Amino acid sequence: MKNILPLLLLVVVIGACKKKPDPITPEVPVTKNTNGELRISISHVAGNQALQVGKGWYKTENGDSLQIDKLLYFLSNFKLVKADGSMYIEPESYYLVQHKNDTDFTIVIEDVPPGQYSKLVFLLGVDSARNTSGAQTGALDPNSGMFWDWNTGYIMARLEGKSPQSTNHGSVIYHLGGYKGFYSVLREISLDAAMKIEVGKPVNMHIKADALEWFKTPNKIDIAKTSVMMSAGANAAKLADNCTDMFKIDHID
Amino acid sequence: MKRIVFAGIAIGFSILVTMQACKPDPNLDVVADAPLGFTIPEGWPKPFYNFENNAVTEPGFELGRKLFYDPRLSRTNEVSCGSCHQPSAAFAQLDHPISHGVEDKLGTRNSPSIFNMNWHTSFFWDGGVNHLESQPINPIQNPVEMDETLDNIIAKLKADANYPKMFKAAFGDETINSQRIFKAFAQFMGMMVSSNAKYDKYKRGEAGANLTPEEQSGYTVFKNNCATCHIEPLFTDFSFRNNGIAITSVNDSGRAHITLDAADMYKFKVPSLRNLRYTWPYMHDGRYNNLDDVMNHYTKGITQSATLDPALKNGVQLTDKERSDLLAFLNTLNDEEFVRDPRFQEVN
Ligand code: HEC
Ligand code: HEC
Repeated sequence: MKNILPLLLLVVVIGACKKKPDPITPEVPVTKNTNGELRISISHVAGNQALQVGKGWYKTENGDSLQIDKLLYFLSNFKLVKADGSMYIEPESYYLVQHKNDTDFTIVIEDVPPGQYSKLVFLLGVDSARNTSGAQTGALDPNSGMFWDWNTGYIMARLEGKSPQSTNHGSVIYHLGGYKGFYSVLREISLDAAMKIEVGKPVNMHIKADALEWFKTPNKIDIAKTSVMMSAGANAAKLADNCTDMFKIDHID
Repeated sequence: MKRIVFAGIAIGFSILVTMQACKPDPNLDVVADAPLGFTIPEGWPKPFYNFENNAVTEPGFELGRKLFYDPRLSRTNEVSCGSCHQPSAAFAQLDHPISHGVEDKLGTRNSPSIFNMNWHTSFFWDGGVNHLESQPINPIQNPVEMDETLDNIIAKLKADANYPKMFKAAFGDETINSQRIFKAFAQFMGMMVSSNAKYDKYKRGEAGANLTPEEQSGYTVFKNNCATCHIEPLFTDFSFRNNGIAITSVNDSGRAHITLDAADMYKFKVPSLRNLRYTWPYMHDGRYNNLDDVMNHYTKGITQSATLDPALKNGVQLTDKERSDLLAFLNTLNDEEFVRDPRFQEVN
């Protein structure tokens, strides 16, 4: 017992002059050892094939041919919800998901109190508060190109590619943005997921995200009519409704 | 015994470590001890931006000032914010109807003046930007303004001999990222308050600050004809209005570009009437070179259109005397102290 005392002292003393916490990223107490972890890996598909940007050609619901060159989007405000409605809300929960061929995108939700959870809830996009509160950093750094500098706000989701049906020199450009009222493209997504979170035993959730869902339901997209979308408005909001069914849990282990 | 000795050494060591780790950094002390005072001028409303999460400090302000005048923030290393926002022009661009950026590329709008920014509820003529900290990214990336990327700027600043130290002094360590750049800009621009014109001194009842009979009568003319939009003490209500200037071939849709609402066609943010002596030419496209032209517009040049502001449907009727008195009053809104304030000038 006695011989850990100096060590403890050292820790306490060093802790005492730790840098002041960054005012916008509040520090969360480190409680890793008593809490569990959810690892979410997202693999992108186009229908029933793995998504290959810059390579594969796919058929949309409308029968248009499409090659995808870029797929990026923000996910934020992750919550793990229990059957009784109580929940764990991840603090500072912002991720910029970028598709790379043959690679899953992994999100790790740490510090989840142990227990049986029944739903995973998150926002597609960046909540309106962070669109209106000035300079941000980390996943929200505007150097990602996912930010409109002429009409402040994040590009919540972005899909770019090519299509012979396009009426814009063969290119398809969808930048979904807008966080205000009727034209908001923010969508809350809720996935049923029975998860038992335990200390020291991370739960792995595998999500398949289907890029072709952008073109499917409820608003079937005709690329000839909608080749480019780069501002907030009713059309962007419709496309956002389509994106809502992009995420399916494949399995949890 | 051995244990006690060990504990003693360990405690001694830990104290040493602490002293090292907590050694006061001379720059950090400045952060803690010398917040620059931002005071709301007497009788003014509360500002929209009050440096939330961005307390102004001397080193933060100085960093913002250096960035503001640094042409390396442009692709060609030739154009700084200060090129289009000059102190002698109350931070507008003197004698330029529309902005000139890298390689003399022309914009479509007049560089607005910069002062009293903390009261603005939105930025740009169309109000597209919603926060002072989110404003500089636009001119930096704009192909006809500075045409540079944030990543390139950060690389240039990191390679500089002074910037890393200045970031450390301002924010606690040498990390350079876009957030810190934008916060420093907001500290510099937010401190630019213009509230020492003759009008202000008169309002505060300062000794010797009286309006002449002409200025006094011009003040009344102003209240009767201009104050629906150019509201005191900032001389704008920050709303978007169509003041009846004719549509040109550029066909700038103004506020509608942001809201996509036809009712907002040709509406622009009401500009302040402070410091007009320095900020010419006037209007969002700099179409009028002097205040006589502006007067002619309001008295006989109003263009009727669906979105013309109702307050100006019949134009403004002024006698010659009222017109010259109004000009005399507008002249009391020029703040020479602000324009010459050494805190806001370029330093080398
Ligand atoms: C090439 C000229 C040019 C450069 C360089 C430039 N600006 Fe501007 N600035 C403008 C113009 C033009 C506008 C108005 C734009 C609009 O309404 O679309 C403007 C608007 C602004 C505004 C908003 C004022 C208001 O009343 O809404 C601020 C603040 C500002 N600029 C700061 C800066 C900063 C900081 C920089 C450097 C990072 C900078 N500017 C670089 C031309 C320039
Ligand atoms: C209905 C609202 C309204 C009224 C009333 C009004 N203005 Fe304006 N004023 C504006 C708007 C909007 C602009 C900017 C228009 C633009 O650039 O498209 C403006 C621009 C100006 C400018 C140019 C400022 C600059 O920095 O470019 C001056 C000067 C001016 N007004 C003076 C006056 C005077 C003097 C009166 C009274 C005779 C008056 N205004 C009445 C709305 C109004």
